[in-house]
Amino acid sequence: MIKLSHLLSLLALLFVVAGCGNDAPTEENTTEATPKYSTENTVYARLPAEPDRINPLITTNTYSRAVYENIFLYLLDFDHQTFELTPQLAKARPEINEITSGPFAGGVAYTYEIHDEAVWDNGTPITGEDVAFTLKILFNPKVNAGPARSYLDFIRDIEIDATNPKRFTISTAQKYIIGEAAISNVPIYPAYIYDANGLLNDISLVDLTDPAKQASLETTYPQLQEFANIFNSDEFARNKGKVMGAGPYTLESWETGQQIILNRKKDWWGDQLTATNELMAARPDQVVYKIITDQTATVAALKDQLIDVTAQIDVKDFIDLQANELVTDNYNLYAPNALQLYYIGLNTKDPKLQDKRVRRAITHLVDVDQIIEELFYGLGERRIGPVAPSKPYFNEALKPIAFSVARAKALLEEAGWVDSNSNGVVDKEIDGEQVELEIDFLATSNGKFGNNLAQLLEVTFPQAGVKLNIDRVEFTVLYEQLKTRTFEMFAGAWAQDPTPDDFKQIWHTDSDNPNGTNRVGFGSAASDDLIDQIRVTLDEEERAGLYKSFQQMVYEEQPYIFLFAPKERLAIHKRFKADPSSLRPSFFPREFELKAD
Amino acid sequence: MIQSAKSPSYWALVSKQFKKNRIALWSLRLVGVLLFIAVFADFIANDKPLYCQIEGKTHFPIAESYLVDLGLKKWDPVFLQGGDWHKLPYEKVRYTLIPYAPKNIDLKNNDYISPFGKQRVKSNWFWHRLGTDQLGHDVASRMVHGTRTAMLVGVVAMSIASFIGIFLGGLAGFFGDHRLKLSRARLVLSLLGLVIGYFFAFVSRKYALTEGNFGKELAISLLLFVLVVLVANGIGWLLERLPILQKQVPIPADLLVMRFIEILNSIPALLLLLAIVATIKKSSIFHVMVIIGLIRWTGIARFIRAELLRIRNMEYVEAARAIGLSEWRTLFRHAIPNALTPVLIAISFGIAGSILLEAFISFLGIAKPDASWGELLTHARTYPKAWWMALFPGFAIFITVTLFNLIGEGLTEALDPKRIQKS
Amino acid sequence: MFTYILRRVGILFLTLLVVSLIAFSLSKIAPGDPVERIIRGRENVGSSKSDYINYQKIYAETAELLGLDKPTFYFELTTAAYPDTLYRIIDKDHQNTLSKLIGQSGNWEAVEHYYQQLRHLDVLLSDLPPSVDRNARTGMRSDLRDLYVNYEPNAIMARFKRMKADMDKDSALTAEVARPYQQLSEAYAKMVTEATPAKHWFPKIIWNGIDNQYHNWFTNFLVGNFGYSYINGRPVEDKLLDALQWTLIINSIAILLAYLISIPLGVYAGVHKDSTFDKVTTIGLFILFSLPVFWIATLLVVFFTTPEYGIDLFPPLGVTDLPPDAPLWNRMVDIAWHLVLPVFCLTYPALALIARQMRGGVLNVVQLDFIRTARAKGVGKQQVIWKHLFWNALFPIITLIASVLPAALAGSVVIEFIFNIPGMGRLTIDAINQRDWPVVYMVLMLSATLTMIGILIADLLYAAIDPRVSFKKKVA
Repeated sequence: MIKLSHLLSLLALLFVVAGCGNDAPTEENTTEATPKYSTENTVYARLPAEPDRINPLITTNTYSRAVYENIFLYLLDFDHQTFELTPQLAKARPEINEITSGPFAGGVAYTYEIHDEAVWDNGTPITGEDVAFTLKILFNPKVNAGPARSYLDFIRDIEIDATNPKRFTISTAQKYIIGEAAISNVPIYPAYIYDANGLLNDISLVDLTDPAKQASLETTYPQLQEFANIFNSDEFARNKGKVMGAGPYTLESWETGQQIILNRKKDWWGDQLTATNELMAARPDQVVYKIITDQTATVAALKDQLIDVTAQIDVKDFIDLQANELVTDNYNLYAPNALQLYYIGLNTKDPKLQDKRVRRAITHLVDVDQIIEELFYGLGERRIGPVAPSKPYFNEALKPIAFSVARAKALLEEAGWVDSNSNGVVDKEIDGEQVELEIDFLATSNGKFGNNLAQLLEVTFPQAGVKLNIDRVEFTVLYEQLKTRTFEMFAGAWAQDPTPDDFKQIWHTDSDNPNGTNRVGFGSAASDDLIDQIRVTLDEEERAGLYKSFQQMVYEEQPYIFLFAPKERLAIHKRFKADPSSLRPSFFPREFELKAD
Repeated sequence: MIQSAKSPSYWALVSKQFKKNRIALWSLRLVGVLLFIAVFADFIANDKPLYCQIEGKTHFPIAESYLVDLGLKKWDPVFLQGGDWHKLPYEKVRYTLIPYAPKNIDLKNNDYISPFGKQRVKSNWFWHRLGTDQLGHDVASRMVHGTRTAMLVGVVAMSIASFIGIFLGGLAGFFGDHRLKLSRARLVLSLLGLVIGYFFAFVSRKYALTEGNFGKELAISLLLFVLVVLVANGIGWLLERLPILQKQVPIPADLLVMRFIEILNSIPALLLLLAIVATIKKSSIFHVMVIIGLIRWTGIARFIRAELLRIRNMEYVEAARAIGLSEWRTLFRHAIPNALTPVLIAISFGIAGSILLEAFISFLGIAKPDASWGELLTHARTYPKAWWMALFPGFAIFITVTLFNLIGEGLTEALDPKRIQKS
Repeated sequence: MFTYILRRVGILFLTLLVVSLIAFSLSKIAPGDPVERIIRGRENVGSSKSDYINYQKIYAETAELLGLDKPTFYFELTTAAYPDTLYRIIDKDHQNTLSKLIGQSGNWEAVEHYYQQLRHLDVLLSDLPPSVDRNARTGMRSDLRDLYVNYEPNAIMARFKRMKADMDKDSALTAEVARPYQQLSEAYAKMVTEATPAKHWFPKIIWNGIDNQYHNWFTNFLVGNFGYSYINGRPVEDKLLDALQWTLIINSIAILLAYLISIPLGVYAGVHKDSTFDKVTTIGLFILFSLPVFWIATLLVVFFTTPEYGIDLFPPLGVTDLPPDAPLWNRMVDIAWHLVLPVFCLTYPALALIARQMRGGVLNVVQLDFIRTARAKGVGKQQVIWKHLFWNALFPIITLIASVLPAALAGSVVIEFIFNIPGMGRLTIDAINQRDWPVVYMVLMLSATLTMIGILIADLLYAAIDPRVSFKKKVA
């Protein structure tokens, strides 16, 4: 037994010694205690989930984007503070001309010019050919770029200036308010890496954008498939040397579930531009993305100073961190507005919820301020419609619908809902049947927000004689019910963009089909017209008027109960100078500047 | 070794042995307490008063709530104003020990109030004795109702497991590979009956089963199934008269059951449980119980098989055969009842395991019961500062599991033949 | 012995077959549509072309890519009411709706006719002259498309009623679609009136041939082609290998430690039965045995990995903070440091179990005659303990080996979830939660294989330490 205990203590000792020998012995180490945090010019950033692949055109994952934005460059990107489109690979914003003749008459042409300095890592200049190559990948029907493709499917052709290969014009088929933003936000790929064998050399973009030609190419040109097989493969999504762009960093390694390491290129062409253009900043020598899915672990990592920056801190944790000196001594905590909107959707086709007075009554029963206070600790901004108040075309005439049981009761009574059988729940005769106003709230079984929200509503609804049943289902089932329109009420959130709102996807009746996202069944010819008009009206003032009438329309119909836009919660280590941003993921490691001391 | 037939005195001996083990005995008593809490959870933690006088009328709201749920009574309209039981204009009122139901949220005391923290309550009676969670649920109330969940899981899961385990283990142990014999006619028609029964009960009625009232339709289907199997057997019985079809074929019951157990055991129970739960559209705690029961019968089956292997050649079993009792009758009337005692060991360990499994499933947030210890413990993980959420539910799981393990231990010792002999 | 191993391999194959059937049928019963999951990304984008027809094209392509356009299994026992080729309706939602409609009416011809009319009217409604009132058209179209996924008579009738109301609103619309609408509602009425529910009582066996989903998956599996993850398209074996390394590391350390500590502990306690040491360890081990791992792990994370309570001893998460190119020694040390708590949590339950078994084993052996004889002969106490007692008490421990491997896998689920270790356990939970069936299949198959191998090893060890064990007897 004695021997055993010796062995145990020896083992323990070994671990302790090992732990102390953690840091590489440097001179400073010997003289004073090493600081707990890293002192190198490396940013340790937390990723809340593992990216699916680092291949921009075939991923829709937010975290993939956070990583690849260090590796790839766009023509233009949004300034992180002003949200203005700002040059990255291109010298300036494009010249925009309406096309009046030729096959794309009625469309718009965008002319860009790429920086003279811009070169790939092998020294060859980045030109319009590379943009054309990128667009060919995008429109190759065999590449799994569906989401990105449908976003850009108004592109028709690209023409490269004969005298200046860095200058090119992209023709599109129609006017579109966010056309410039969409085209400018395509990451440009180097052909020499992604198509070493020149499989796509023999076809032109216009062959791929024309549906008929594309269909014939699919059978006559096997290289499309061949290229897609290579491009879609795992190798080009996670291997060092295969993931390459014009940006300042290269992928060094990716350890599943652990970390993704990006190293800065030694001689990057953009070095000359970093001083004048913040979007070309590349200050850290290395960026390490640590994949930490767990909230508790994230908080612990902050307390141990293992990470320099993280966003998406749990609200409650964030409030606690603000009061924790251990953390505030080392980190700056920020809560910028997030481009997000929480809502409760109501099925406007449901017999009970068909009447807009009932929907408004229910809105009166939702104490949004209480929800922000109790569930988000005040870290949210009340919203009354789909448009953020910060947008210039926000309709200020619309007032929040106040929490008022009395108003709700009055509206319900007006709509014919009274408690005729005195069971505490109001009822009404619909199609010859006595229907009680019992509403099923669909929540996923492990969605924290939806569940907590439902429990708050469960308290306020009965005050006006409305019964709320919480229906906890698995997320695929929730999705199925949304699809078949058999739900009554559910909570959700939209991610929003700094660009002008395009309402087509969520509000147009074209999207009111089982797979569409107009789940609540909103819309009429009038609203469709407004949406379509907004999309093609390039004049801002004219558009603002349309936007305002649309907001008015939504306000009156109340197909959704708009809740709030949450604040992002992030922490940045004080050893770096950096600003948070409202753009996802709310921090940009490339901009982080190591402080001198 | 042991006395040949296990007469009632065997039971007495075992229980005497068991009672000698003071720890095990106390564990049993404490489990009794837990069961009491589980059964009377509504009367221990509830927002409705036990008794009250309102508008001059006397009510027993908790007792009445049972009647209302059964549809035998309607609430007095006075109770239907807005849903908060604490705010009614009572003339006289007597609340339960913990005056909160597990789903009540107390927004005055939300955001993780510790048991010793500042609480805004109208009197000490309403003190949140074990603190609150983020929304202001009373932890004590959830603990009490969590006891019910835990006990229910243990009992339901193990009842199912015992049923399957005893039946299959009994077949395997009693008949072995050679003693279960069927005539050719019976064998073929039984198999055919199973397939046809399956077809009529589950394929033909697929639409009714998935769309209708599941419980009712399932009952009809099962009835249909049994009916078809019986008819097939009846025909087999008739055909047995033909000499060619009369030949007896042995069925390797032991081999089949053991192989089945081996295959079932080759997938870790937790993984199998998770994978099965993932296929259920609305997974509730009852699904979890049933699935645990369907997975965890193998231990019981092994115990009973081992016991029957020993018993089947004993004198009293032979005697039963000799007087002409059928094999099946011997099995169910004589062999299994005598083999049941050791199964208690497997059952008590099984209950401990089931409770643990449920707690972990709830901890992962997969099946969300209204109140479960595992679910409470999740809060501790997401919010480490709430030590009361880490300590109390975890401790409750620990104690319950330990109690059942101790009972299992006690039974093992009490059933140890050497000890019984000594006494 | 050789025949024994051969037999075991046979059983392994049988088990794999059964497990593959279980895993496969679970994936087919589970709600949710993998194809839809993969292409769901598109719904976040705003585009003119993302309409219903386009969606269906992409759906079909993706389904083909995943091989989900094939029949499910070799054969199918169904009723005479169902057609042989329902699987050719690729969209899972449509397929489901049709199958339910057949369930109601039992008349496939009528259902098929109804479906054709439905599609016909859908196409018409998408392409109407501008004179038609769009309010009426959009209302009608959205209700019509709901019919693709709704099959309950009430829901269908409600849609018909609303469609009729919309159509009557506008004479231009009536002129365009009155006939097809009439045909559709007649088709539905026919489906109801000419229902042949009796057909459901006649069995039918459909033979699908070997080009089916199960066959393709299982044969691919056997030749080592495990498929691609639905989530990120990585080969399943890559994902698994990445995860497996961590699980193997922590489990092998934990198992080794558990055996190293528990065997001497158990033997010592067993030999000195009823001594103070024995009593203390027995109680201690019992408590350890009953302590729920996920509780202890949670407590450890809460108390020992953050400076919150002043005892910040261990790093909180993951397996290492160092990059892969860091010096090997530093990296190993760092990993070791990260693994202390998880390994502890994996070790203590195993330790408690094994030590208790060992003690029990020793207690049984002590009373055996040959030990008494040996001691009577004057063989030294230590020698008796280690030479005779130990080997004979090993049997229950060997039995445990069989269950150690799969138990380790299951145990990892808990530990990896709490300590954020990217091993098999985490992978499994994530895969199940995200319905990443190719990964789930593989995990289930792997755990079954491991268990079978564990049993094989245990049996071989039995034979190795005790020549009296004969395989023939054992197998029988």
